Amino acid sequence: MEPFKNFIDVLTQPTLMLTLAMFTFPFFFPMNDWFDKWNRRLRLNLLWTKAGLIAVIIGLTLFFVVGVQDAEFRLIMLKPDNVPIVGLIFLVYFFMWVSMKQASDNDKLLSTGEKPNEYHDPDEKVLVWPDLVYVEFISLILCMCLLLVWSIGLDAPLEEPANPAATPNPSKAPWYFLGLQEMLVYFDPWLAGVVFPTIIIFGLMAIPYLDKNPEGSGYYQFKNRRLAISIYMFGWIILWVLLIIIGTFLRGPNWNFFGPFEYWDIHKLEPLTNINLSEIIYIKLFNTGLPSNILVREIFGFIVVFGYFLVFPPLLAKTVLKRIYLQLGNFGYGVFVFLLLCMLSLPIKMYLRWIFNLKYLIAIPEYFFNI
Amino acid sequence: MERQERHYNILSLNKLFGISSIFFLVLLIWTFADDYDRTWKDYQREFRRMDTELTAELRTAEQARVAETADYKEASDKLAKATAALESQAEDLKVLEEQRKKIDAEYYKVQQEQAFAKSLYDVAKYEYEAAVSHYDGPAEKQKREMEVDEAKKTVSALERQIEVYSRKLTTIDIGSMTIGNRMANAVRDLPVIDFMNPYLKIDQIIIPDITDDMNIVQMPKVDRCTTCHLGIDKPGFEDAPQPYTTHPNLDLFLASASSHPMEDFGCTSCHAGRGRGTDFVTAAHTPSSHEQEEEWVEKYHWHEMHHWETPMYPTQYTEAGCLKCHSSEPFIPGADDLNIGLTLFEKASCNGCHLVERYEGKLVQRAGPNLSHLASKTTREWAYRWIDAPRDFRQNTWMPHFFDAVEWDDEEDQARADQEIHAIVDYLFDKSAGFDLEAMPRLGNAERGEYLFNNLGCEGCHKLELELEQTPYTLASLRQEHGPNLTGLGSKTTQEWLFNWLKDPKKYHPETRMPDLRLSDVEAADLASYLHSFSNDPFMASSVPSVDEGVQLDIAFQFLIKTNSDKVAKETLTSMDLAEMLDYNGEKLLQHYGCTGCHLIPGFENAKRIGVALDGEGSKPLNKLDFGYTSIPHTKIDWFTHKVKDPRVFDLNKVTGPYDRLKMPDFGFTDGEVEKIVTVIMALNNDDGREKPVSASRSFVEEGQWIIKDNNCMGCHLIEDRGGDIVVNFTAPEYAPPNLNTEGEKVQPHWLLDFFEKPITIRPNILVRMPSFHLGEEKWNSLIKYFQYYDGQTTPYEGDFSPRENSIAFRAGEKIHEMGACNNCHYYGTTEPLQEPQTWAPNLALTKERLRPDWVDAWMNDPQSIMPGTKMPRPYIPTEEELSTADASEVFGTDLMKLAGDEETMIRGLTDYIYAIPGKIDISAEIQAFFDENGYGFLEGEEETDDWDEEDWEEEEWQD
Repeated sequence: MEPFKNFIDVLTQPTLMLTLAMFTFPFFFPMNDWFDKWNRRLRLNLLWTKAGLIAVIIGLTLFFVVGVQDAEFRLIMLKPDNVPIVGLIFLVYFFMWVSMKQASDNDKLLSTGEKPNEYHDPDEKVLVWPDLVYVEFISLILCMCLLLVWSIGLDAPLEEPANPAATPNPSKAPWYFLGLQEMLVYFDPWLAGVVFPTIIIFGLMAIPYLDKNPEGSGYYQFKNRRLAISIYMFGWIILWVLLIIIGTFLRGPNWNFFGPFEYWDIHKLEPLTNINLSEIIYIKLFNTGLPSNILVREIFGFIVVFGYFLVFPPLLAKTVLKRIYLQLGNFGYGVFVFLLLCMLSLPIKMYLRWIFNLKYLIAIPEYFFNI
Repeated sequence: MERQERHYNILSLNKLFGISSIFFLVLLIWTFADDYDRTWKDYQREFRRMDTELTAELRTAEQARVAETADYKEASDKLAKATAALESQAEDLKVLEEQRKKIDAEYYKVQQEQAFAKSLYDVAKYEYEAAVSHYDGPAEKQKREMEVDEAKKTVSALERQIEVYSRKLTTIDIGSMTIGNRMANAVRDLPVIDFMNPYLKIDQIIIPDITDDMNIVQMPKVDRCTTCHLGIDKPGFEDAPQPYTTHPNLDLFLASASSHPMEDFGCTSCHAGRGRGTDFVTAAHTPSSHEQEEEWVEKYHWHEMHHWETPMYPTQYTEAGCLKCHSSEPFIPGADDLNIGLTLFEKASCNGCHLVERYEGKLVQRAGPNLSHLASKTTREWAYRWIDAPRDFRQNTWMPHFFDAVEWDDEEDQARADQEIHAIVDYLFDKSAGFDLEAMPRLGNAERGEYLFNNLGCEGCHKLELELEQTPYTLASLRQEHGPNLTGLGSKTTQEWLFNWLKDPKKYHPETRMPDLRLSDVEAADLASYLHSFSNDPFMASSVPSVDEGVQLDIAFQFLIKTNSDKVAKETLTSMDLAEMLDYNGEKLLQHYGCTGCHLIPGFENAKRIGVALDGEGSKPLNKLDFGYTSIPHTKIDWFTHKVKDPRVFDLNKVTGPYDRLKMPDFGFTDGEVEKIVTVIMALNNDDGREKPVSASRSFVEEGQWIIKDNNCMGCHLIEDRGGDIVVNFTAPEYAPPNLNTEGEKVQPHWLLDFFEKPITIRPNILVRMPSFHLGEEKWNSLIKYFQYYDGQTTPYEGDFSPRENSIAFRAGEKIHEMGACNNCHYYGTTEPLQEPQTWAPNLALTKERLRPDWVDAWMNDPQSIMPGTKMPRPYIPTEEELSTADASEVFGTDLMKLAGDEETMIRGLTDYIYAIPGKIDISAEIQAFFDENGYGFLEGEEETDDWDEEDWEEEEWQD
């Protein structure tokens, strides 16, 4: 069992895990024909079949059953705060499966020229009573049952009296904010805590206005909505759910990373000397001191950031996103590509940090402005 | 598929609904069951059964006892007789009764008339009054009735005692209940309706003025411990199993008459733990041993309440709860372990490095000797060996091991340690100031020195044993080790130094607590030669490595680099020669290891403490304690235990520079001692306690107790019924230092001050000597106030007592005095007593200066109760009968006859007489002259040891 645990501990190193997740992602949600070919060749499409569901659920269950035998992982897993996150992993996969199963079924039907399954639903659809209310009522009862069992089984996770002078270590946000807390590692608080959440909310609100593709209205399908679904799933699964899982299971004392089977050693240290872009350029490259003028000092950071947001949109419009540019027009495309670039800035910043120990591209602590 | 109106099959929905509803109902019942199933309810049911049994037993016993009592039998007989008498007179009574009825009727008639005719009121009133005043028929009946009432009262009073138990039984024993109560009993604990008046309920004590610190608010303590610990305040459950057991010390705790009543203090204010918890685990019980922990895990699924910062103290540390209220007291009555722990803490001088408020201004901070004139006392070689391993020289020394305290020392560290000691010794001897040693007038006689050592009272503070027995410390044994064990002095110092030290300890070490015994040159010489005759050769045979310049260079570099750049450090180093380097290193090391915490060292007169302040240490959050890479269980008690036992254990496997490591030295405490010291550390917490009322008398008493503790008065004297440990060394208590109980009531304060400042001889026949402590007027006054306030004698200035000479009482006293033959034992001024010296007693001419007359009265009345074992008899006081015999005037004289029966006045007369005894008051010189001539042979029993020259005893003063 130890080799397995060690393997998992290595695999869950954040650099490795995120890289793996990001680079295997398009094989699961292929956004073009090439990936689609490999998706089929690797039989990854089996994931959305009943057998796939059973296999994944059994696999996950086995992982947690094995995990619970380990003293360290048991502590994390069975903490009343974390039990719902274990449930979340199953639920996220299950609902993803529900929709992707229907999507792949419909894709098959559509490819043979038939109508999607939903086409055969009764015209009058369902009655409020008993079809809607009764079912809702039964669900309500079952939910109550679940809550009762849960509250009997797990005590409220009370901790020591709050002490303003002593911060718990690790100090974790509620689970739904763990993604944001993870972003705080890489971005200045005003960005990670204020700007990005706002952009996320407005971005989600903008989706219906940006995704004008009529295909798949009223039913699930993937083939004609590849890009839309992939981009959304990337943001949702990789940049949100995965970060919550990392925050819950893999972040330990001093916000260090720990594998699930690793002992949370409070003494563990990681080299944490991060430097700003200006320092990389002026000190490491030019071997001179930092200029005293802020603008001169940060000029390279401004160039990079503005370059990122000014160079990429026209470049993409001419190349991979040509079709979307034509569809959405100037304004729509502008909004879309801005949101997309914002989203991608998180993994980009992560890699910059891991590879170059980069702290900020633009660092003007004098005015609390850091990017 | 045919389209139907309903999308879902209603029948299967119905089934699903039915199943889920049943499931929900089951869960609801489970919820209730889970909510109502509490372990404390089982405990309460079980305790109810036990309480019923015990009460029934007590009732049976009480019934049997009452039935046996003479009172009950007599009263029952009386009742029977009176009832019979009443019945026998029934006929007469009937007639009387009828008469009474008739008169009553008339009375009512009159009353009615009065109501109808206001004008006739006066008449009717007159008739009524007349009727009543003539109504004396039933007097006999009244008398009988009164007798019956009386008897009934006695019987019912006795039966009420039984009733108390019966009534209790009807409320708790289902068998004895009324049907209504039985029904109520069955229903009262049912779910939902149990809000009204359940039998099973959480029992809590709320203490508004003792709070739990919730960081942001202070929450009043709510202790629910009694929910399960039901027998805790009820005698009778001493042998019951937990949680029903009675508290082991109800005299001091819980009972409402004790000093810590339960309703005022609760439980967790002393024991800590989580008062609101109502099951075994959440109450934060803490096991006192590993075995108990395993038992609890098995029995109660015990685990640590990780988030509760003040878990209950394990049983052996319970007394840690005392100090938060009692911190100003040097001695906490009843807290035996804590007192030993505190004394160990003081002896090891923890306070030298770690500030503890409690000791500020109370005890001498630097408990070790003055090192300012070290060169005059000992040699470099001895000092080297001593610093290296003090316990090799003197097994019970409080000087800790600094240099072999760590097990994982490698060779390099060992070499460094050797050189560090060299540097320290070098510094101390180089800076040692000159000290003029007076030459000894003559060589001493060790044999006589031994006699003096055994008899002057040295053993009140010192031991002289090469191999000490390894017995656990008690307060008494700690008092006997107040000063160092005097073994091996021959290897350590010179006779000359010892002579000078004994003559005037404060000259060498102004802060010393060693008092001045006012030794003559000859005595000092004898003692010095006796003490010098002990040596420790194995210790002196250990090797002393030579100075290694390379290592010294490294040590100096390590210190220089702390505050200098690499370049400056190296430059400074090259400019130093070896001697300079040794001094530099020595100075830095003395500072580094905090030697100044216990020793006065030249150059460090104002050194600060180097350790962390310990007030509040017991409340330190666990995450502030660094466990390092050790596998010690993460609890505060474990951390402190290891810190005290093995102070540098937390450096294990750490990569650090030699002077960044932990430096607390190893005191060689045994496990038992560690436990008691940890109790003290846990007791130094920030928990909220109850402010003790600060009264002047209280602070006077405490002030004095500190002085007594600091100067170890109890090593020789019995005070507050404690101490006097030296007394067992004497053949009889009267040759030992006196018992100081009732001292405040006993002596006149201004006399006591004179005595403290310049002791004189009081008890002629004792050799043990009251030393001169030179505490200064202020401390002496505190001590006098202590004696006074402790005895409740609070008048500071009292007039002189003038005996009423020539009064009847005075003459009666004179007669009693004459009959008592006081002059057999007592001095009268310089007049020697008639009997042999071993019975000699204080000078009666001193009484008027020394004693308080009220005390003398009490003393005469019953000497044994004040000083048990005293040879002073109660004076013979003739009784009233004796004074009324025919020849009384001849035997007792007329004055006593006039006072026949008035013992108080007779004793006061005796006191009057004693206060009038004339003569020299301070007869120290005369007494001394006598014993110089005749010796103290009787102290040794029959054996005559007094065989040395008289001239040896010149210049001496024998004191009490």
